[in-house]
Parts: sequence; C-alpha cells; structure tokens
Amino acid sequence: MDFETEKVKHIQAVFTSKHHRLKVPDSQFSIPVSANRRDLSSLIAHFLEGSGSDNDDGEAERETEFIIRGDLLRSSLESHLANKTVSSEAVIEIEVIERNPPPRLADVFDHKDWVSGVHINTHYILTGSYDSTVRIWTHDGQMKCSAEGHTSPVKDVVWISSDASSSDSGRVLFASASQDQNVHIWSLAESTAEPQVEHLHTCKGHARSVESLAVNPSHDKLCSVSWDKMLKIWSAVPDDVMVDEVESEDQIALKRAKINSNQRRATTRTPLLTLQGHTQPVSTVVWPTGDEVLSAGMDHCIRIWDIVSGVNKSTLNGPKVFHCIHHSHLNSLVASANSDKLVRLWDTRAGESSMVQSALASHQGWVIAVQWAPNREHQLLSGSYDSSLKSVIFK
Amino acid sequence: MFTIRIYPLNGVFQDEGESGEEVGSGEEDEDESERFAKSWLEAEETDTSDEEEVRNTVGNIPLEWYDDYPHLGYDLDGKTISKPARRDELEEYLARMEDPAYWRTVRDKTTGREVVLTQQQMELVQRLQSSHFPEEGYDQYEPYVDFFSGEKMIHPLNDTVKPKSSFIPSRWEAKQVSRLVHAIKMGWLKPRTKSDRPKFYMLWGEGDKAEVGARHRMHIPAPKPPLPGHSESYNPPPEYLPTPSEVKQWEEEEEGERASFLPHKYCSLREVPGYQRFIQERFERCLDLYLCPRQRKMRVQVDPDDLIPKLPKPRDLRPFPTNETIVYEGHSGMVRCVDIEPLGQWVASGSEDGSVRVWEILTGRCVKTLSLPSPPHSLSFSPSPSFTLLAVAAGGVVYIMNHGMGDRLLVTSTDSRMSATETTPTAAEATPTTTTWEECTAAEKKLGFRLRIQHDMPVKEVVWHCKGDYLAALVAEESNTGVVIHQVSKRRSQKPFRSVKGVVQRIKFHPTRPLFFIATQTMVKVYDLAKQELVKKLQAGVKWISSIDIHPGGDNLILGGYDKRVCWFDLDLSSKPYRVIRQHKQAVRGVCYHPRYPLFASCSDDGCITICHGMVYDDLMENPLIVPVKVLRGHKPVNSLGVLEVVFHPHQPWLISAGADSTLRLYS
Repeated sequence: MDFETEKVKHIQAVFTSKHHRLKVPDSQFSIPVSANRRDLSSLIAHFLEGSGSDNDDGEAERETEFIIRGDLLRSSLESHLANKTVSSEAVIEIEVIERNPPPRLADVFDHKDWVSGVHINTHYILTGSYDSTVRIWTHDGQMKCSAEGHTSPVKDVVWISSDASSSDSGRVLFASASQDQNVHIWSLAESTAEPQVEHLHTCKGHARSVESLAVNPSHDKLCSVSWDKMLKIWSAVPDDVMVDEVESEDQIALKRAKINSNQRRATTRTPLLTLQGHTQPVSTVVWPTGDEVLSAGMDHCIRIWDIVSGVNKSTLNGPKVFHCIHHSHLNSLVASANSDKLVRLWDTRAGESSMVQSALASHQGWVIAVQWAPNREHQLLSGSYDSSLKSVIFK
Repeated sequence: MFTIRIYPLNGVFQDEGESGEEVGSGEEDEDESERFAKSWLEAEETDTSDEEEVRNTVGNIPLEWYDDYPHLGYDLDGKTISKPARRDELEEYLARMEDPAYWRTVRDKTTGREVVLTQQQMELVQRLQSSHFPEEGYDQYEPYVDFFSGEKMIHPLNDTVKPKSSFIPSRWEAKQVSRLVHAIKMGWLKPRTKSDRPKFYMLWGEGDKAEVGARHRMHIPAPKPPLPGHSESYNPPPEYLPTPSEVKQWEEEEEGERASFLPHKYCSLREVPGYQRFIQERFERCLDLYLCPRQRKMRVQVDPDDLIPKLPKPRDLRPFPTNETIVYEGHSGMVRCVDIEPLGQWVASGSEDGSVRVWEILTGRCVKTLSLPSPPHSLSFSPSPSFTLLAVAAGGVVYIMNHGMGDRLLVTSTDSRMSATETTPTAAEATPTTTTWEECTAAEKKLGFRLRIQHDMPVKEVVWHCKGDYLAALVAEESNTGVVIHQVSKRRSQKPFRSVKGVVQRIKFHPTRPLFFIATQTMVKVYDLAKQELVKKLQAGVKWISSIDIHPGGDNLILGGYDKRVCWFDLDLSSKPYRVIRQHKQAVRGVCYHPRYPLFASCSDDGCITICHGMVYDDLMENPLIVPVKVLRGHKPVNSLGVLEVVFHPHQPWLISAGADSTLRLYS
C-alpha cells in the first residue's frame, strides 16, 4: 500500500472560487496528477455535500469546471500542467467555476419546409419558413396560427413590439421579409380566444429578396436589408385609421373580411429612408441604439449608419462575407458570422480603426448565425453549416 | 701578444695629497693668496717635470720593426729613444735563479723595460685568468634600484615651475602651419600622397607571365615540372639508393611501367655522365603541354533553386477558394453545366437527368426544378442587367426562359419586351432554313420558358454576348462550322462563319470588343464581327481543346485540353501559349476566369479543381503572373468523369463546380 502511494505522483493544490455559492474548502489538497475534471468535480461535490447545508437539494449533482493558470482543465492534471510548463512541485491554485449544463431538447416545432427565421417574445415564437408562411407558436410547441401572404420563401421574421401588454390595443405587431422583395407587417390580436393574424402593410421598395430585418429600440421603425444592396427604413406604426376601423366594426365581419381578402386590405408602404452605400448585397442588419444601424453584407464590411442624417458614419472592413451580425447590449461588442469557421467580435465604438477583438474558432463549416445571450455578458450562440450550434462563454 | 696597461692609481692620489698638504700647511703666513698662487705655479712646474719621463711616440705599429735598431721609437722632439740594455743569457739565468720576483717580472714591449708586477696586479691577472670580474667583490647580481618606478606617483620628480612657453602655443609653429596651408591652398605645395607602390615588390616584374597575361586573358601558365629531389641528386644519401634486388626488379620491368630514373651515386659531379633520356623527356613534356591544352573551364556555379522563378507564396495571394462549403444535392444524373446569375444569388445547373435546377447559393436550397425533354448540354444566364433571361440548350433546342428571380420590375419588363417582338414578321425571312423560332406553349410559359429555337442538330453550347441581345449557339454539325448567332430582340438567326477546318469545340464572345472566338480541336480562331474577318489564329498547345475562357480584361485567354494541359495565351504577345500548366492527372474539362479576382480555375476528370492565381498587369511590359495556389478535391469520379464544369461567383472568391457525381459544390 505504501509502495503504491509512493509511486503515484501527487501535487499540492488550493481551490478558490469567485462564486459565492460555491463554498470550496480552504485547506490544501494533495491530488494525484492523473486526476481529470470529473475526479476533481466529484471531490468538490463531496465537500459541498458535507459542508453545504444551505445549498438546495436539487443542485446536489451540480458539476464544476476548473481553471488552472487561465485555461479550462480539459485533460488530466498532468498533461495540463505539462502544457502550461508548471512545475508539479509548486502549490497550484485551481479556480472552481460552475459548469453550465448542456441544454436539453425541450420540444420540436415541425415545419413543412426549411425554417429561415425565428424570433421569440414572452408568449409566442415566430418562425418564418421557405414555404412562404410565417407561423406563430406558443412556447410549449403548439402552432397558434399562421400568416400566409408572401409568394416566395420568407427570409426573416421579427417581433416589432415585444409584448401585447405594452401596446394599448391588445395586439402584437410582427414583420416578415421575403424573397418576393416585400416586407409584410402583421398584427396578432390576442384579445380574442383564438389569436388572429392580420396583414396590415406591405412594404414595397426593394428590388431583390429582402434578407434581414431589424426593429429600433422604441419599436416604431423597421429596417430591412436586401440583395439590391440597399437598406430601407420603414415606419412600423400601424395606421390609426385602420385601428379605428377595427374597433368600430364587428369582430366576426372583420375576421371574415380578413380571411377573404387578406391582400386587399393591406396597405402599401413606401420607405421612410433608403440608405445606399453597400457595394454588394447586404445580408444582415442590427439596430442597437435609436439612431444607429449596423449592416453588413457581401462587400466584406460592417457599415454603421446614422439614421438621423442618413449617412454611413463608419465602416469596419472584414476579411470575409458577413452572414449575420449581432450586437450585445451588455458589452457593446458586435459578433459576426462570416463565410469561414470563425466567430469574430468587433468593437464598433473604436471607429474606423477598430479591428477584430477576437476570433473564436470551433466550427468546422461556415458560421451562419450568431446571437448574444440576452442576460449574460460573455455568452453567445453560434450556428454553423457543420450542423452544430455552439454556446461560447469567453472571458 | 700580451700587453697590460697599468694605471698608477695610488701614486696620483699620493702626489695630490702631498700638494694638498702643502697648500694647507701655510695657514699662518700673512699672504695666503700669494702663497697659494705660488704653490699652484710650483705644482705646474712639477707637472712639467713629468716630461722628463720620455714619452714614446712610436704609435700603433708592430714593434718587431724596431728589432734591428738600437732604439725604440722617438720622443716628442724627434730623438730616438734607446732601448734599455738587455740582459745577456748568463744574467738572465742568474736572475732566474736568484731574483725571487723574477716570475712576476714582465717586459713592457712599448718601452722595453722590465716591470715587476705588484701583488694587486697579480691578483687582477689571476682573476682575469679564472674568468672572474677584474674588480674584487663585484656583485653582478646585486638588486637593482630603479630610479623611475613603474608605479604612478603623485608627486613630480622635480618641483621646478613649468615655463610659460609650455602653456602657450608656439607662434612660430602656427606661422609655419599657416604658411603650409596657404601653399596647399594655392596649389604650390601638393600634400604627399600615399604611393601605391607596395613596400616590397619584384624588382624585375613578373616576367613573361605578366606579358602573356595581358595579351591572353584566359592564359594559364604551363605547370612547372617537379623539382629534383634527393633521389635525383648525383650523390644521393645512401637511403635513396636502390638495393641490388630493387635494381634487378627495375631492370626486369618494362619501360613504360617502371620509374623513369634510377638513383645512382657518383663520387663527384665530374663523373656524372650525360643524361641519356634528356631529349626523350623534353619531347614528352612538349607533347604533354601541346596535347593537353590548358583551358579555363567556364563552369557556371548556379544553385538550382535560383533557376526557379521566385513565385509568391500562395498564402500571400489570398483570397482564393480553399474549402468545400456547401454541397448542392438533388440531381439524379451527372451535372453537365452550371452558371451563376450576374448578381450572384442564384446558380442554375443542368443535369443528365433532363432537369435544370436553380439553387440559392448561400443556403444550398433548390428553388426551381425544370424538366426538359432531353438533357441540357449548356445553359447561360444573360449577362445584361436589364434582362432576366436564361438560355438552355437541350438536344436540338435552345430554350430562352425568363427565370423570374431578379427584380420584379425587370422580370415584367423582360416579359413585355419578349412579347413585343413576337409580332415582328421579319423573323422568318432572316432565319436560315436550319433554325426555327417558336413561341412556347402556355404550359411551358408558366414554368418560365418563353422561346424555343429549334435546330436540326443537337446544340452543344450556348453563350450570350455581353449586351444580352445576341446569343451564339454551337450546333454539332459535321459539314459546317455549326456556329449560329441568334438575335433575341428580332428573333433572327444567322450563320456568319463558313466552314472552318476541324470540328468546332467551343465558342466565346469577347467580353468587351466585337470579337468572336472559335476553338477547334487544336486551334483558336479570333474573328472580328464588325469587320467580318479572321483576326488571329492561336496555336493551342494542346491536342484537343475541351474548354476556353477569356480574361475579363480581354487580352488573355485560357484553354483546357483533353491531354491534361491548361494553356494561358497572352493575345498581344504571341499566338503560342504563354504558359502551359500541367497540374491535372486526367483530361481537363473546364476552365474559367474569375470576373474580379485574379484567379482562374480548371477542373478535370480526376475530380480535382486547380485554382491558380493569374495576375494580369495594366503595364503592357509586364507579363502575367501565374501561380498555382490550391487543388480542391471533393468530387468523386464516376465512370471516369470527374468535374465537368466550374464557374466562379461574380463578386466573391468562391467557386461552384458541377460534377459527374450529380452534385454541385461550393468552395470558399
């Protein structure tokens, strides 16, 4: 027995944690170098069980991750330390962080065709599909209703107002962009027992398929980008006349009229503003602040537009085609999905000279979509043509 | 000769001491000074008494000369000095017997007197005889006290005040310097220059060697024969002499094999006979020099790496397609032809299964499938931005269809223009007998087809003119060229080319000028459409042309051949290929240029696509730079057919390839 313990190498380690919920023991441990993350995790779990009476019972099997000298422990301690060229003689400080459990598949929303856009608000999930239909689903996976009006595949959908309670008339607006070169503004009336979709406006003006939509923070304007290299700003406020009409008329008659002649009732809208400057088709747009729109496309650059004056304030040049950009409200970084395997992070505040802050490489194919977590500063999701969706937390 | 000079050291001092005593003794006398003078005078006089001792002025001559004379030299007055009387033998004997100091009595040769050496002198002589220092007690090795020590001292050796002159620069020197400077300035004086003559040099020069060297730059002096050694000596050391057995062996050996010379010993140089082999050896040496001419070989020392032209690294030539990104699957037969819409959103492909599919490039979604009665051989989007037309050649029919995927307004305007020309009655007149223009049926029109141009033979290729009105079709005809040019707006067809030698393989419009390229099996002919004449013939470096593409600049051309080669032509440079690229292992099926980036690609039956960087410079003097940068794989050969056509994206460094494995692939 003694002989065996002598043979296995041990290192001295101290656990620390910035997380107040992870109460790690202060004492120094002697850990065999062959231990990997799972072994350390079970060790910590053992101590937390022993000491932590204040912890919830449900989190007993909570897993932990370990950071040694700035890197996550992925392999055994021995190889990790060898990579870091840390002497195994010294006392090693191991930071304990909580492990994010992998998301579980909760529900499947069956579509007949490819899904090209999805947007979630507090009650519903909006999806746009290649069968030219926009569908609205409840969060538990039931299709509430569908909106048919496009003649070509829908490319993007977006909720204009986030919640029914915020708008006085008890309805929610959403917009859809399609390859039929139009943007449709719809309203979803929640007041009735059966939600009704009403086609309010058709925004005509683009000459090629509309690729992406963005709504301004005050929910009254809409920006669309298209293959015709232009950005167009539309008003997202429904005409009041129509609202009055809706209220004055009988509900059933309205319903019938809407079903019969959805197209006819919709009024055509023209753009408030057209922004021209991209030299190649535009593929993606975000509207982070009231008077600033960011768009990017196949001319390999992100353009920042001032909506008030309608000029291109600055341009960030990238190396590849942009498929998707997303702006984080928490750290003001812009994440971009390009036509390569990298997710790039940009700081738009740095102006023209700003470079890529960092590039995250983990995908095997083109990254096609990227999205920041709404409430965690350092988390983002990226989807790729290698059929994988990755959640990245970076420090 | 043994001469000893004796200096009367003690006597002089004694004399002086006596006179000193004399000076000091008369202290009490009244007139001291007078007496002192007197004594001094006396002393002078006593000095003169010294003359009484006769000074011999004989000089440094051998004294034997005086042997026969009774005198020995002369005194100052010129009188002879008589030799002292010499003792006869008896007296000598008696002296030897009786005189105890005889043994130390020596004769002074200069005076002839006998001198008895004192005890001190004897000791001196003895010390000298025993090789000691003459002075007694002299310590040769006594420690040497150096007056100037090596250490640095803080005080000066003497404390005399330094003269003022040592602080003041010398005026005289300044004057001299200024005079010299002035002389140099005026050119009177020339500063001495360093002579280039070396310190040591051959006084008689290099001789004939230098002369010959000046006349013949490549002169090499004859190698010198080896110098004779010990063995060639007339009297060699015994170790060089051959033993009798060696001599015997030498005699037995044949003339050519043995050493030419056997060492031989002669007592004196006189006995050395004439060298018998002299003439023969001279002759052989002359033969050597004559038959083996000395020539400086101009061997070029070149590193093989330097001969390879310096090509930039592919890394520096980005962007170019590197990875397979999207695979477009849906066809059931091999994909024969592919073309991308001018804006780059859609790609159309025609397959052997008789269908034309239109795909969204970015997503890989097939948005349209059109079935044709016969498999399409070629399809082409209209390059004009104001038409949304697609020409498809399937069988003997060229379909012109409105794909309806651009701007709505453009789609409708294209349709209206097409229908406006329907009514023109001139169509039938202008059309040659072999082609007929037909309106498509209503069912076909719903799918997008607008016109069908019926040919009597299968159409191999269809290409648009850059303006989008003219359309050239290549018909597989045996007798004729088979090139038919259609005008869509007027629905006319014409055959501008009479028979061309060879079977026409590909046709192409020049991107900017009214030129038309016809590629036969081994030749590319360039026709001017405006002047209607043959402008140029290009000798293809390949045996059978499979495909051709023209640089968007219009001055360069690439063609691929079934014999695995891709040739680049500079149309201004020559009618021969500028560069031949042999990268493929199988027949090259398609070549294409990128419309924006300096790239071109070629695809072949081995399933590989080769991307090359092909930079064309505006400077006419600079030749195009061609660097192969990437080989793309992905397509699997089916029935020994690999990639059938490649096309570049109009504004991105992407490539779409059509393969025999019924897929299209996007490389980015």
